[in-house]
Amino acid sequence: MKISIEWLNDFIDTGDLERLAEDLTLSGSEVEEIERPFEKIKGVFSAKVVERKIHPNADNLIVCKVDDGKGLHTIITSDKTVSEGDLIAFGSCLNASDVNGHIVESLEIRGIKTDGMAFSLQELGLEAHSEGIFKFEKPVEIGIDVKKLLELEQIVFELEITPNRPDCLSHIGIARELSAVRRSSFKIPKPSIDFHKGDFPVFIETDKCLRYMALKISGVTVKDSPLWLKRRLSSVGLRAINNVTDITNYVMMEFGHPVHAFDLEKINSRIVVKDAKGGEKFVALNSKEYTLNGGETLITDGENVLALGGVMGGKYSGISQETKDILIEVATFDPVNTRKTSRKINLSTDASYRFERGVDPNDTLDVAKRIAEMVISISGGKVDGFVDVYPTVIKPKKIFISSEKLSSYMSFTPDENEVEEIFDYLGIKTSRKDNGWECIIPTFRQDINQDVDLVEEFARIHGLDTIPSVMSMPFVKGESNPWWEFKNKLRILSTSCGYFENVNYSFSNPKVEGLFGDTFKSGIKLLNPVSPEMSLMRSSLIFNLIDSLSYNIKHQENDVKFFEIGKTFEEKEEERIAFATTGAVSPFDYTDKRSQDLLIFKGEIESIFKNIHIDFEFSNENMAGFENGRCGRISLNGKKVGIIGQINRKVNEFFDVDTPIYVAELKIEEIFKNLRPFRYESYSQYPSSFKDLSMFVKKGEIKAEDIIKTARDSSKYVQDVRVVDLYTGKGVPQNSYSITIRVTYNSVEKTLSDQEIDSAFSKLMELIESKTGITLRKVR
Amino acid sequence: MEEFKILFDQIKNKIENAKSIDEIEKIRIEFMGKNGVITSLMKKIPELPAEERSKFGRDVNDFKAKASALLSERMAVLKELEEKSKAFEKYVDLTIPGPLREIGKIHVINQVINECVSVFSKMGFDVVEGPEIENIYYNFEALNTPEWHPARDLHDTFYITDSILLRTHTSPVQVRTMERRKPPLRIVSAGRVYRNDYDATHLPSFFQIEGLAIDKKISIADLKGTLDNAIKSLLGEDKIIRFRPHYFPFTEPSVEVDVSFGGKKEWLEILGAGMVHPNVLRNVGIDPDKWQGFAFGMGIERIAMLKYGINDIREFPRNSLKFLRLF
Repeated sequence: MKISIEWLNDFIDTGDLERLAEDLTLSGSEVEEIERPFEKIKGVFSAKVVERKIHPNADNLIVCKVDDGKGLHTIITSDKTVSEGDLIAFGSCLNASDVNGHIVESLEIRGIKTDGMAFSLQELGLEAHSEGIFKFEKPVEIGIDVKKLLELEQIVFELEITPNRPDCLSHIGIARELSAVRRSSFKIPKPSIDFHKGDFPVFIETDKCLRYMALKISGVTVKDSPLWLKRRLSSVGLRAINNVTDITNYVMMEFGHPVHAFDLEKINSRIVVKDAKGGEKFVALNSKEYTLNGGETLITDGENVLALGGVMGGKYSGISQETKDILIEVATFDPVNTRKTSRKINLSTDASYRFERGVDPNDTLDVAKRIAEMVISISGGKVDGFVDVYPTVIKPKKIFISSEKLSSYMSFTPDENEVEEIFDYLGIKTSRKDNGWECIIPTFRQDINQDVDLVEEFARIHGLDTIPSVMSMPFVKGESNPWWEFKNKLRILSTSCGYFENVNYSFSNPKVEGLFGDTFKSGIKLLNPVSPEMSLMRSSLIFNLIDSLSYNIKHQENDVKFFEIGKTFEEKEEERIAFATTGAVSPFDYTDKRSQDLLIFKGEIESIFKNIHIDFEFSNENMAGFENGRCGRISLNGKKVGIIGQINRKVNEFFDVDTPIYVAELKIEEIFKNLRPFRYESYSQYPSSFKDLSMFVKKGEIKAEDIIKTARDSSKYVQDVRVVDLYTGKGVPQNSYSITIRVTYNSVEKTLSDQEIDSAFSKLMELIESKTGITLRKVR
Repeated sequence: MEEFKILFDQIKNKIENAKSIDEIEKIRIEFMGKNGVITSLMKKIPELPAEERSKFGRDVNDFKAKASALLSERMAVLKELEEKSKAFEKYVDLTIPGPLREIGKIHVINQVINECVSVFSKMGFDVVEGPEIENIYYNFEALNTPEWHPARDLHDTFYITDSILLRTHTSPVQVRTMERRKPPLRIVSAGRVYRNDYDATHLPSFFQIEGLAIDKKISIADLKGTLDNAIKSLLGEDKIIRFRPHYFPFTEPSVEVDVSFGGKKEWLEILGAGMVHPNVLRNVGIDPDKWQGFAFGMGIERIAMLKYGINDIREFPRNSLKFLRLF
């Protein structure tokens, strides 16, 4: 919302600019920008045309000599109305620029060189389109800065007006705010003109129009608006059109009440306001045709749709150069319906913006009088009476506020006189009652509905800065959040394994999800995504992790270890952790040349979770999107909690990555549920004995898990079984690997004798041979 | 005995001429090993006549002790020499960079969230979470923002169905928590939120942290004190905050909070806050005549940007290792 400081001064003395900005900002109308709309106009001075000739080589161009007080300059114009003696706005090609900052250039047109140009109102920013050059109507001295002569040194505030304050979408509204902050009065224009009732028939046939006043003015002359009016409209970002339309816009910016002018001749002798049935077609002032959905508020003359109430007038009934008699509409429309209409037909206007926030029906008479006054003084004509239909009068609300409420919110007891004074300046009438005030809320403040709304009024005008900063809240017994702590623990453990945390978008690309077939159930679809590539809610974290891995490879980071903890949306919203890695296992360790591989990766995942006493079970299982034989499921206590594997070639190609990518994803909500409180058990004080056992294992036939489990269960003295070597290559049969396990024997009661250990180990070997059919290779 | 003297001179000569620890070892074996000279002399003892045995024995032992002493002495000298000669062999240049075990980093977003949570938990706020897919009731209606309310314009919402959406703020968690827990309470809720707005300065999904305190007598001054303390902890003790009146449907009065960086004239908007609107309390069955309190919400990216001077918000979802490593 733009507020012109010149305009605001009609109602209140604004004083120092910086203080003004602060006063408005700190009372809730934040000054986002201080603009000088005409500041780019430079070097334009009044000048006199001293010679006028037809261009010798072009009949449609005029060559003039102009005097700007410093000398004679040559200009060329196509405006044939220019004559000797005219006073114009001249900008020299040495230093002049127009409202958009375009610099005046020296031109050579058919053999004649120009020194500058004559400015039009368009180039001065006062008109959307100019037919000819600007000429001063009254005599002015030459060589004077045109910005001074036309008062273009304007300052405009761009204010952020919150949606609850439609009353501030006007110069008078802002003046009222300022008057409250400064506790000084402001004046509202109260025109005293002949204003009488007329007999024009107006019918309201909908509850979506709260009040409708039709004001007839006859005998107007539609032409350009005076410069001052153009300047003010232009300053606040509105286009000058013609004097009647400009006045309606002017009054809207002044009072915040949108109004509309019809060409009376185009109206079939009455106004009927009614709901659209749907299917009606309507051509608006913007020349676009709209088909109505039904429920929109229509202004009709019984036959034709004249305007879309609260949104935009119609082209047919609009003001034109030929218009003689006009009908001014000062109406109030239902906010919700206006908003629906504007949304449905996708047309937002200055009028709909205000009506959907709430316009006061009770300022109708003031607004109508102001329009009448301006039309008569600017466009001529006379008031031909008004008709006012106001089915249900909106009355001011009464709200009680206790001084206790006020002080409990403010943390101090406000001065009673100050409370009354502030409310008074805001237009709120107070009367003391019990331990507080009964307040009568003016109808332009539809945002004030409860006592706390009055607390805000007091607080913001009194000044929020004066409220102390204290910490006096009583102790509250809190609740811990083990889930939150669990996730942070996983973060720390993952980073300690060299993994960097990602925070990716939770959207995913259907194409990428497609690459993984039925491995994941498809993500939830958005009705209005930002792009097709972000149209699903991810069903897994791995898609975006691989994408970000690929991004990094493209940016010369070939060794990537990433993890992410976040929501997935497979069937329900579920938090997971996922890992993705490629390249070196330990990229900054030059003593470790290993490249990432499925077992190393698996070991990293296991390590992270073993740290918090979680032991997973792994099993091979082919899945779409993964390399066959190099992927599988992760389970906990027999229940599937995740997947792990190497991404297949197609996915690698999609993401344009050459190195093998390993990923894992785990359902941490499920894992969290399985966390058992940790119980301490003392370790054995007696020495352990170790036995190593090597064997060849045929891939896919025998599971390493079975060997280890057999070993573990072979004796009560087995404390641990671990893999100490894994080898394939020379000397190992094809499709087999050599594995060496180390068995630790121990007892918490005694030192085990050699005999006890040997007999346990023999039994272990027998069991392995009998259960797996393996011929044992080497015993140490 | 002459025999021992000759032998001793012989061994002494050999020891003195020995150049290495290996040579010394050879000499030791030659004389004192299983089949060594001295050992064989000792073996002779039982064969000698009884009257000679004792003297011979003493002489052999004497000889053995002297030879051993010489051997150890020479050994020590040679070890020292060898150590000196090998000094550079075992030398490690500690200026060689160590092979690094790279430890990962927690994403700056979560670092900042954790920092915020820790600051607020010291003031008695519990951390809670809520769903990212919400229904219209929790995201808007329970928060005093009915359908067709112009304030919904401030939220470009992603929809899944007409009534299911991606939460546009963390405030629904307030409502869910108040439905579950009775006052007095003090909570913070951090998490991902979504707005359908994507350009150089807006992300379609970003992070917020939201606070709520409900008690019998909580005032705007308490809100100020809490936020003042939090901002100073997060951004530095020299920071000053200011309250500016604003509008949110779910708080009344509502404020925007600016923080000053450098000069007092330079204010940057950092968060929104206010006293919880009585309608919000009513919606969860809390009597606004008995309970009141405040709520606030701030953008994590914004805090991170101010804290670290990051000027491109798009760095956060980009996940470039070059960026992630910096924190």
